[in-house]
Amino acid sequence: MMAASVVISGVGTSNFGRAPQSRIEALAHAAIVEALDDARVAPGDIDAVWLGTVFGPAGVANRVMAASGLAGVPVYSIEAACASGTVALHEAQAAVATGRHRRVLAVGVEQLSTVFSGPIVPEASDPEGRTGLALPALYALSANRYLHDYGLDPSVLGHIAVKNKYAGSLNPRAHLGGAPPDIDQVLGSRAIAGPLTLLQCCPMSDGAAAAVVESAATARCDDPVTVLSCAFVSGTWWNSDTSLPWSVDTVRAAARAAFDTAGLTPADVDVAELHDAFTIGEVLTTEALGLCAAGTAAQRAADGASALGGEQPINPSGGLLSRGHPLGATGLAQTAEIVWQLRGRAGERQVDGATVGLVETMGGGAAGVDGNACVVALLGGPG
Amino acid sequence: MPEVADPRPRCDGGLVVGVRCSECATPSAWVVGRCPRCLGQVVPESFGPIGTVWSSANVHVAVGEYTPTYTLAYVDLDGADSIGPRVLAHLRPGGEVPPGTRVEIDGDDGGDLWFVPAGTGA
Repeated sequence: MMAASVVISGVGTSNFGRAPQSRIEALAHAAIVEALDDARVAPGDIDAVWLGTVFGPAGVANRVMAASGLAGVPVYSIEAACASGTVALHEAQAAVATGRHRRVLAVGVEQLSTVFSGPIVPEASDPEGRTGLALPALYALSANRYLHDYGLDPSVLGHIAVKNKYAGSLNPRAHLGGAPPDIDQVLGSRAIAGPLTLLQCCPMSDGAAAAVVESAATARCDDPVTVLSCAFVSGTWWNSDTSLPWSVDTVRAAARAAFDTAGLTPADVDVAELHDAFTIGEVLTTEALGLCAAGTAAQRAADGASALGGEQPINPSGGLLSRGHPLGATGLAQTAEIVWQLRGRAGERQVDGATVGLVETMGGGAAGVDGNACVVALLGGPG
Repeated sequence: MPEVADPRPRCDGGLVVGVRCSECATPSAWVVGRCPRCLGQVVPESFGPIGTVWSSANVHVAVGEYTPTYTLAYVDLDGADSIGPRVLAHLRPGGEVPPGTRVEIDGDDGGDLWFVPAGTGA
C-alpha cells in the first residue's frame, strides 16, 4: 500500500531537441537545478538519486551527479527502455514511502544524437532486432492488427498526431514546435512503416528531466503534488496464445494496480500524459488504461474529447510526438508536465481545474515479452 | 550488423525447429534445455510449414542492412497437435496481408525466416 504522504516537491526539464554539441552532463544539470530550486532544496538535502538512461555512456550517472553538486550520495542507474525515467520515479517514491530515504531525486537523461546518425538501430543479439524490426515497424504491426480487429480506416490514427502536435505548438520546451499540421499533412507525410507516416512518429531527441521526491512532512515548497499511487509491471511472455497487440496486457496490469491502490477509477483522471512514441501507442494505451472503450481512442481525438479543452485531455504537453523522445528522460518529462498541470502552471496548455493526473510510460522492444516495463502513476494536486 | 550469436529461428527440412514444454505446453522457436516460460522440461518439436499471420507491415525505411521496402510479419506457426510459436519473419512477395492469412515457410536463407502465401511455396 502506497504511503499517502509521498510528494513530488519539485520538477525540472531541459529543452528538448537535437543537442549533439552539449555535454550530457549539461542536459541533466539544467533539469536538476530547476527541480531542486522548485523544491527549495540544496544538493546537500538529497539523500539518494535514481537515474534512468538507455544509451547513456558508461559512468554517466556519476558524471551527472558530480556535475550537479550531488557527488557522494548513493546513485542507482535504471535501464527499462522507454520507461527508464518513470521506473526511476517509481523506485524513488518507494524509497521514501518505505522510509529508506527522506528526500531523493529521480533523473532521466538521454543524448541520442551522439549515438545514432539516423533511427535507432535494432539490437543485433535480439531475434527480432536481428530480423530488421525497428521500433516503427513493431508499432506498425500492432497498428495493422488493431485496425483489422476494429474495422477502422488507417487514416483515423492521424488524428492523434494532429491533436498532440497542436498541443506541442504551445509547449516552448518541445522539440517540434511551430505551426501544427492538419490531418492531410500528417497522412501525406513520408511513409515509415505500415500505416504510420513520419508525422505519426516521435522525433529522436536529446534531453533530461528530474523530480524531487520526499515526504509531505519535509516538503518546503508551497504546492507539493501527492503521489497517490505508482505501479511498475514488467511484460510477461508474448506468444501465439494471445491475439492482443504487445503491451496491452502489461498496461492493463499496471493500470489496475495503480487505480486499486489509489482507490480511483479512470473516470477520476482529469489529465494524462501517455506514451505516444507512435500514434498507435496512444490509442492502445488510452484503451488499455480504461480511459475509453476499445476501438474508440482515435475517434475521440478527432472529436476533441481527448484534446486540450476536451472532457479528458491526453498529452497536453504535445506528448512524445512533439516534445520528442529522449528515452531515459521521457517518463520524468511526462511527470513534470502533470505536476505543472496540477499546480495550474502549464500556461497556454493548462487543463482547467485538474486535480488528478496520470502518467504512463511503456518501454518495449525485447523479443517475446509483452513490453519491457510499464509504469502508471496517479498524482494528486496540491490542496 | 555486428558479429554476435545469431538469435533468429532456424529452419531444418522446411520446418522451424524448437521445443515444447511438457509442463505448460508453451511452444518456443528457441532451442533451449528448459522452457523459457516456466523452466519446465521440454521436448524437441518442429513447427510449420503452415502458419497464420498475426499481423504484417511494410517497412519503408532502411534499417541496418535492410533496404526498403520490405515486409515483416508475425506468424503463428502450426504445431503437431496444437499451435506453435509466434515468429517474426519476412514475407515474399512483399506487401501486407490481412491478419489470419495462411502462409507457408519458404526457407530461412541462412538467416531470416521467409514465408509465402500458403500453396505457393516450393
